[in-house]
Amino acid sequence: MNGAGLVFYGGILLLIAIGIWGILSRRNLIKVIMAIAIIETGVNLLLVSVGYISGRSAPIVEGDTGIGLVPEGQVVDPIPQALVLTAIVIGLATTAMALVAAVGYYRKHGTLELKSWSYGITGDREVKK
Amino acid sequence: MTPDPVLLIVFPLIAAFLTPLVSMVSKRLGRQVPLLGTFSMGVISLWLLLEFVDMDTTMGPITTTTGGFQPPWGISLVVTPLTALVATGMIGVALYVLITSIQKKEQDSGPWFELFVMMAAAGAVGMVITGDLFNMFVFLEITSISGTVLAALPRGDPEKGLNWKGAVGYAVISALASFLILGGIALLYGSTSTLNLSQMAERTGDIDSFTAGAALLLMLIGFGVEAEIFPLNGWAPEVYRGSRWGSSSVFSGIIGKAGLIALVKVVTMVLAPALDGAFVMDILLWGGVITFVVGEAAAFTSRDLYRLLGFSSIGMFGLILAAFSLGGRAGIWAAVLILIGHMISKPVLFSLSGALHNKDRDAPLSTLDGLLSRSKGAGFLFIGAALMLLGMPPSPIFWGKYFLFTGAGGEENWLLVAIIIMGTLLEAGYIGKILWRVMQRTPGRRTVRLPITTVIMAFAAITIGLVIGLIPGIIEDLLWMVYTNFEKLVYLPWGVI
Repeated sequence: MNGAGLVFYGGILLLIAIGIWGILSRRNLIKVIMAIAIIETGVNLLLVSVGYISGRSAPIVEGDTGIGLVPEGQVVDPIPQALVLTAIVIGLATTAMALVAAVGYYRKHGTLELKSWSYGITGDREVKK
Repeated sequence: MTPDPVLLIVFPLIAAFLTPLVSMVSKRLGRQVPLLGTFSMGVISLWLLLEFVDMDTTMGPITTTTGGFQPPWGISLVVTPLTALVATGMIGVALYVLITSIQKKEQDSGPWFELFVMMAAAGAVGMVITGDLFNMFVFLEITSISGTVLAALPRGDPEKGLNWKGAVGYAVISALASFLILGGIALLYGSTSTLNLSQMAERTGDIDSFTAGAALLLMLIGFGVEAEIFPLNGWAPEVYRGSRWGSSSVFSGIIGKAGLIALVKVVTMVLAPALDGAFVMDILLWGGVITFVVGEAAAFTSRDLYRLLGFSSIGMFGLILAAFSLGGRAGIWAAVLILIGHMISKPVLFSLSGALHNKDRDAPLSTLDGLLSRSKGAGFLFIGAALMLLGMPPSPIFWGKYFLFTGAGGEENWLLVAIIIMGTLLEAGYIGKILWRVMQRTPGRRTVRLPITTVIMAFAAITIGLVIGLIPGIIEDLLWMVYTNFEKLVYLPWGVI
């Protein structure tokens, strides 16, 4: 693995690890959503680096170069870049959705802490006989 | 003539854009647009399903490419007997929910419930029929955003506050899940240079075992969240506890099923061949079995009606996953039959519970006390659906469990047989408990009047279930076709699920 690859894959692992640590250790909803956004960034970086080929340029047709004239083998794989654009837009939508839910949760329960959760697979604590 | 499968995506999207516009003119009319969109999806998917019934068993999948771009450049949709059956079932659940929710008196709120039931169905059908992994991710997002809205819609009056607890849990966990899936997709694309599932299945040799293992882990977690597989289903109890019955039906009948089929599809086509296939299928099998037992045990101890039904759905998801992973003719048939039975009986139970208790608080099991004496119709429908869920003959689930036992017994996997019997006993325990309450005599409690749509739809659903259970021959051809296509997929890379 060359230098660029090391930076990319190291960065991906670091971002995803930070995100997972954030989800596991924070109990504030906004911070959990931020942690998920960090994981998203890591995954998007993974997508871009999958299509990156060392020493090649961006897949953009420049000047009067016709599309058919772009020399094959000189540009990086364009598909992951298109995917990443879509993924960023979808990530925006899901983050917005999660934030809307967090705001509603705060308005109804007066807190952003996840402590007041009755989660748990067999938890039935809230039901009164 | 065969209809183009892309219509299954086009119709609901057009209806979704039209719904807010029509609502500006008339709210009452606006609520009918999603119903129309879902109905047109139902026509197309039933048509596609009947195409398979008419043809001989060697017929391959019905495919279409969008925009005329051939794979790997374009997105292909692949309809096989299994996906056509599951898609028809999911659209059937959506129609059941929409028609049963039609109310006589005018509501002031907009058509949001109807709209997002349709979009959840559209996204789920897309996830099931798409042949392109990234496209599957996009459909997954459509499904999970619709799911977040549906989870937020409470029982009772939305003006009094939405079920934010359920919504926030599902929104956060499903956002995390879908980006883990995207990570898995990126790893697979990096190794195979294609997003098309069939092409990927041809190139599984290019995936090294470390990448395949990492992708398997990411996909298992991601789709496991959607399919409510233990221990990834922490969000589900809150949703089932506080959301309206229609939302719960959509989660158990549409969204969870889509996650399950997507998981089975990706694992059997790409990840199992890239790794040690038997080992991967064993992971799925035991994950499913543990989910089955944990879900049924949680339902057994549950004191809230909606949560009981929700946990029982989780158990069923586990059982279906286990049956698929067991494989072979018996396993595949068992999975399909249990899937059909669950899709029929669970929405009926949810809708009857919704007619009994439609308030924004917990529904203790005593809600059901004396249901039979309070309303003969509601009582019999509830008993019928509950027995169908348990697998009392002639229920499709009875045949499903029969094939599951013969499959597991054929492989001499006695531990599996014992665990499934244990789970079934737990199931019999809680269904017996609620039926005992239904059949109690409770003089003085007010009688129940069911809305006429609920009676008609529940009766129709149970009749379909009974017909399939009494005359399984009518779907035998279909079951054979599902099986042969599935076998092709496991043993020949170009076969598509």
